[in-house]
Amino acid sequence: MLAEVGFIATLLAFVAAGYAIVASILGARRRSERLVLSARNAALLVFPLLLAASGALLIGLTGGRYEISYVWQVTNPSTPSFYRFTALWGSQQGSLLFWNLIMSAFSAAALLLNWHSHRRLMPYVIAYTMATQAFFLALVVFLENPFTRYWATPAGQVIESVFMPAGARAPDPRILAESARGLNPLLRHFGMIIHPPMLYLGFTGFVIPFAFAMAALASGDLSTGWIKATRRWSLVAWLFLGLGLLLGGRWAYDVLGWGGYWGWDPVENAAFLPWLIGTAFIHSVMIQEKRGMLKVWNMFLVIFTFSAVIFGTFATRSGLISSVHSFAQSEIGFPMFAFWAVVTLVSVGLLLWRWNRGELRGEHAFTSLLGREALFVLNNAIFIALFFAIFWGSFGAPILSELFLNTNITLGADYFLQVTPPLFIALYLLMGIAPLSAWSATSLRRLGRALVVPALVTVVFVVVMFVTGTRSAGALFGYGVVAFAGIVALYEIYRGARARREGLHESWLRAVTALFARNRRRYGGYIVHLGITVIGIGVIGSTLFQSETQQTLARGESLALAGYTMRYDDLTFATGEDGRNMTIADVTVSRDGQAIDRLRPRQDLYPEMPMTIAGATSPFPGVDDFYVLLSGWSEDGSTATFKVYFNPLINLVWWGGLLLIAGTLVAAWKDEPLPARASARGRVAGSAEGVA
Amino acid sequence: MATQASWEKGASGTKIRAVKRGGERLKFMIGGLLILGAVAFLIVSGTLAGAQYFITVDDMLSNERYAGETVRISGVVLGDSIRYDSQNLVIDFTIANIPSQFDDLATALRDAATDPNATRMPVRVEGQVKPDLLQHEAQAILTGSLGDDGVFYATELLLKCPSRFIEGGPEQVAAQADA
Repeated sequence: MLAEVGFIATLLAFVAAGYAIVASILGARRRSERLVLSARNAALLVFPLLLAASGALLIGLTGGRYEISYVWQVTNPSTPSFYRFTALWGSQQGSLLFWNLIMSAFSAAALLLNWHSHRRLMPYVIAYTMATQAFFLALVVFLENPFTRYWATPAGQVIESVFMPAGARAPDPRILAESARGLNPLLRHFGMIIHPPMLYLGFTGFVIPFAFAMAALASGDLSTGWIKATRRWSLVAWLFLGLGLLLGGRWAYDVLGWGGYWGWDPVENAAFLPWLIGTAFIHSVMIQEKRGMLKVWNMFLVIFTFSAVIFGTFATRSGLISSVHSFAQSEIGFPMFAFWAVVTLVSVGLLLWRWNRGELRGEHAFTSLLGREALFVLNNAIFIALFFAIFWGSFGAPILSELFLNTNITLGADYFLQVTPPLFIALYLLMGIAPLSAWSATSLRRLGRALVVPALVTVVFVVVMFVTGTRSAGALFGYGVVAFAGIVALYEIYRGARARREGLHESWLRAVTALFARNRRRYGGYIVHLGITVIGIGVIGSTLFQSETQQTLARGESLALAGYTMRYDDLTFATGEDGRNMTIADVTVSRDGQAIDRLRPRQDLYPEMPMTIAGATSPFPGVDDFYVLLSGWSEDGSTATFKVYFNPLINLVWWGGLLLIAGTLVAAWKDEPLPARASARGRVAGSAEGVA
Repeated sequence: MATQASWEKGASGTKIRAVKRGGERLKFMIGGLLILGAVAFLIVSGTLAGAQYFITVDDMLSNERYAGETVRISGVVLGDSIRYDSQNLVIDFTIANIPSQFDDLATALRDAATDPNATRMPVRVEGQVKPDLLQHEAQAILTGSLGDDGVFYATELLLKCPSRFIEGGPEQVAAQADA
């Protein structure tokens, strides 16, 4: 029953999405309100149907229904209930269904929340979201079905099918349970539990701005309506994507045991690419809202953000590129590639058509190289340059060399470490300068005056870093540039609060809170800048100053690294809840003779799979991390071998991530309603714009 | 942007504006070209510095030009050959050639590991903890160079084992039970 319910619900969702596409397009062309409403209802039905389908699969997973092949593959009787739940996205088929569920939730929310405010765009929004949805549902229904079951044929073979084939019978559930495989041990980690859903939320979330942009192009309503409607959606998707990337890094750091968090692996890059264009987009839409410029450019950015999302999904799931992440080599590669190509070509074609008709002309021209508009454009250019550099390194060079040079050339981490730092430095500089420049035109002198205080504070910061022991000129330069961006953000908040304090005689606390409440987007943005600064300092410190050692220690012996000593105390053995055999070392880390922390590095051996995982260490107090891997031991535990990394400032990467979340939430929070008269006037203006 | 100029009132004003706009435009164009040039330079120099051939074991051993070069190489791990010295962190194992054309990676890996005629090459990785995925029939992607002693010294080791988690079903177990 369960498998049938799940499959039929998925199939119905596919049919509903297909119907919604047809009905919405017909409704828009024939101006039929009834058809559009019918399309909307069908589109809204997709989410509950997928909820039912995912629910059915979850019941199968938690209830140990091993006749369902997906359940057999990702769980076994010793899987703890928590991981049974997360197994929903533990492998290709389930994660595709889950991806669909999240996307349908976004579509439903956007339809419900924006229905009245952007009525003219809605039929096309339905068509575009549902076209994407229908494609991904088709993958689930026809190619990667999580609801197939195992059946034993009279000939003694086992086959997979959703419905019972004639003459077949269900295999013995006991045998199925005994042979079931279980979740990939690498995926049993906190970061892996949240990382995929966050990434999916980020990826699928961008379908909403994309659909609104396409709706604007298709309907001819090219006012800023689509941007106003999607501002928050973009921020939410952008936040989740960023979180997904951070959690992925955290997972790699904790589980993969090589002492780092970002390896410039093609699949990591594939998820980073939409983030880069998405970031360019959320900056440059501000120019369109404020000045009516860059209309074509913004369309281009939103199209390519979504295109990069689809490409990233394709790269991750098709096994296009050799990578630790290629967890699935499968038949969905070609359809996904075709979908990506079609989406990109159709959208760009639509954009060029409108552009050619002269409907996307800017309302102002650029007047100054130092005006905020120009600096934003420069910021966009750098983001796009980063995008191309990373795309070329991960996909362009390997694919082109294979196609045209008959050899396969790949670009390793060296390439990325050489090409990206100058671009990141340029971004941080702009992040510092742009907030201080004025709209349309700033004279060099005025900009210079605004820069004095932040520049001085930056110099002080660099001197402090020098005095506390950083001697490398490159590192000091990097710290300075990165810190400058954050210092400007803090300075701007301070300036705003000081002005309120002097003008309105408010207390500091009141001035700051009022400042944020009045202009959430701007000051939330500064908090995000601050978060990016903190991350940048962590990245520089941990990349340039990582130190490592490896030693075999007898019980009671110590090793020294970066001013710390680590003593090997004891070795114990234990069995985990999911049946893993753990070998745990107890070590004490001290500095200047004082014990700071006790760490328990361990190795896990999974009996059902010949796989061991060298778990890293518990969180280390402070900004630095002492990262210990247990690599070997004598049977009686008298000696043990450790690989130890000292990663300075690395915890700033995670703390910066928290600031990033907080800032984005502030920026995306609903503004306080305007006074009644102002908002009424706004509405009249808006509708006049819509008619024109 | 030229159309913008005609919005200004008066013929003489238009002319002055147009000249000024033209100058601005030139500035933007020069700035844009400088950025483009700088980025192109970065990417080209990075590509020249970071490019590595990604080759098979057969390529490595049959073509002189790869000798001594840093390359990336792909091969299948032979489980019996894995030796790990956990005291000194030295991993030794042998990889066998995977044909460059195949339909299904898991099958190709299995065939390559069992083919007695496949080219084999010893590998040494130093200073690394034995990775969890280093096991029989895993695909190893190694970065390093071939030493004069015929051993491939890898500085980077990436492993994939698609066969473990993706392929196959309960065929054998169930079929045995039926018999």
